[in-house]
Amino acid sequence: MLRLIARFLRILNSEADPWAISIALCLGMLAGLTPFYTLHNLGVLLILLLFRLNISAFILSLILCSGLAYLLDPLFHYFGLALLTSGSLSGLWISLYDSTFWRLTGFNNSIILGSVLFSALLFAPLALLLKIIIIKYREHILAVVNRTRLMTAFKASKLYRIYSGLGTLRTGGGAG
Amino acid sequence: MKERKSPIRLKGLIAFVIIILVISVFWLLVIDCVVKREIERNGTDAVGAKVELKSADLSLFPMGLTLTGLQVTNPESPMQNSVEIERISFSIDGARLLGRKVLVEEMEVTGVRFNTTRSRSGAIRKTAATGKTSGSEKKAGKLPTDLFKLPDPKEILKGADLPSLALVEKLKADLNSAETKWQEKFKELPGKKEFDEYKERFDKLKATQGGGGLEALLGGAAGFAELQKDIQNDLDKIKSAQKEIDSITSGFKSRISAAAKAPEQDLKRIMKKYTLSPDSLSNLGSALLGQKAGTYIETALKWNKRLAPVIERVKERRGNAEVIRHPRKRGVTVRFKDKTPTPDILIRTLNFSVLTAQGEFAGKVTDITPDAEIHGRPMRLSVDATEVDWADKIKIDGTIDRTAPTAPIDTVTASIKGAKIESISLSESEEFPISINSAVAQLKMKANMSGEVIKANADISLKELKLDRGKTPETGKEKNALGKGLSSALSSINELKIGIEVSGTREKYAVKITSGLDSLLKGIVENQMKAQVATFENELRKEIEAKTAGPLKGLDTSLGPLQDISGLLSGQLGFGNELLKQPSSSTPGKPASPLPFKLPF
Repeated sequence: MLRLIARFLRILNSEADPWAISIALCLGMLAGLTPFYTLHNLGVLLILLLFRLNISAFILSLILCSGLAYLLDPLFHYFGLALLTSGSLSGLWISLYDSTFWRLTGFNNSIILGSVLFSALLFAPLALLLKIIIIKYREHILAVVNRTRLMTAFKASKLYRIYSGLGTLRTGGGAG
Repeated sequence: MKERKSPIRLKGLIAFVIIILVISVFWLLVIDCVVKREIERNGTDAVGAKVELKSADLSLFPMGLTLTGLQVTNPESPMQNSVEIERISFSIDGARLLGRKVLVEEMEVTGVRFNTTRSRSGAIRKTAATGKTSGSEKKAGKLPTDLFKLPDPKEILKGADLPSLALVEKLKADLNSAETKWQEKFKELPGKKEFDEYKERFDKLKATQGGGGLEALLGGAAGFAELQKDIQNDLDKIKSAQKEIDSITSGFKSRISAAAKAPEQDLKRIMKKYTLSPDSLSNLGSALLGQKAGTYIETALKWNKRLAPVIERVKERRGNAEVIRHPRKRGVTVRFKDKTPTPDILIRTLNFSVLTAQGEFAGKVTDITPDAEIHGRPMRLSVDATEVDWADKIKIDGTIDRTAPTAPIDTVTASIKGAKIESISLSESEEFPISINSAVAQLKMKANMSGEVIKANADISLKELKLDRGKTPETGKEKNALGKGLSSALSSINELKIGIEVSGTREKYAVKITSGLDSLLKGIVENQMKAQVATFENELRKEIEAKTAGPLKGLDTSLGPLQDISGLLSGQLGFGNELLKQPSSSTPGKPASPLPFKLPF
């Protein structure tokens, strides 16, 4: 876990594309908030691996959001059930229900639909927001944070050693 | 300048394919264990006792599942399996499975055994495995446990609260309270002192009347009228009190009379409880057979209830959608109308073979689905066996119809001919054990359950019958003449017809059994019990009398104080009336006064 956090911090503090980090975080949220063994999560995995996105950010977000999902499941259930039993949407659901592909997605389960739609609605604004936060963090906060006493203490910690070690490994042992 | 990397990484695609392959291989390796565990877990949750499976084998091409060694524990008897199945195999329509529809064209279930013994307990922690009264024990026609042994009257009365004693105690308490109350009340009523005063006033008036003129005469008349009014008021009070006390005394007399008869009522009540009435004697055979019939009925109802989740699901309609509830944290699945509606789960044909102690027979069940209203056909069970070891012909047809969920109808008709029966216990009562040693049975049965309403009837004919009146456990011999009489009577029976009728609801039903055993047993038991009952009655009467004699003693004279008060009141009433009748003037030739007093002019 420490290694994962360190890796994420390193990426955050590097010049890596903020979009790659924010979208990975959002994909992690999508996979974490929704039931794990579902078809759409295969799509999430494909996107994560096919596009140059940050895997550490994805895993970290997945772990955090999976925990959060236990608390939010009742909300997803009511949201999903309300949509599935809404008279105005019944035409849409009936047409999806006739498709084998959509049946495989399990869209007619209240928690799956509720959580997927909730995550999907949150995806774009959150990705944009996270991207802005990452940029602002790098521009304004990183330098200040580096100078704080807390950061000085952190630099003496095990986590920082891991953090530094990752950089050393990536650059081929530091010397080379 | 830093080279800008492509946003797509092809290596990622390869990694994705590898991950999918690894997951698939892993799935194939562990899926059998997962299926086994899921069946055991869900089965245990549904039954309330351990469901165990020896192995599960899922094949992909063609898609199918084979289960071996399924054991379903009986929750009421954890050392027994309700059902044990050697092998279940079926293939699933893979294409439909992608659309989340489970369609099994044919399922083979072989080696079905009922009530087999388990090597270890199948109880789960949350169920109380033992000490629980089963429904059959609760509802079955019950044979009195001490049918032919009358208890000791002393034992019956030891610590027993006789209603007659309570009645006497209450009566005594009420008498005491009434006595106290009336003694107080008597003191408040006008007594001798008041009447003496009236006499004095009267004398004074009489004296003044003699020496005065007209004025004195008129004044005296007004005084007499006032005195008369006062005396009459007091007399009214006394009359009312006497009427009341007489009524109370009369009530107490009735209660004393009832209390005297109460011990006899106690005797009758206890006799009714501990001895067999003519009605119960005439139903002795039914009570005997009712135990077994009750057990079968309860078993059938339990299985009907247990099968409920298989044949219907908890659904709730919301507009065009149907909501199917799942356990917690799994949400709910909403089902919409299919273009071509098909059930989510359907087993078209299930062929089974059942192994019993007497032999094997086979049958089939068709159209098993929890979505019968979509499928449009009810589940049917049929057994039509002609060449079985233990019967000439078995024909069972059953229907579980949930095509109209609001009006479920379950029917079963059974006909068994030439069934060879051996060693079946009819009554396990220690006092009256009876078993069928051997017989050839014919059975015709029809049962119908519409919603909660049950109606069933069965005619059983037993030929070549050999009944066994079991021996008493202590000596292995018949203890008394009654036992000998029964043994002799039962050994003479070689044919028996039994009729069973069940009607009512699932929770409250009545079982009516008629059989040739009724009249036979009644005659024997009635004769043998007569002398025992008479002795029992005499002893019981003596014991009750001994217990109630003390409290009843002196009850006859306990009304004395109240009667005394009534007597005193009568005396005072007489005194007052005498006073009213006193002549106010002895002058002859004067017209009589309109007042009870004779005026002095």
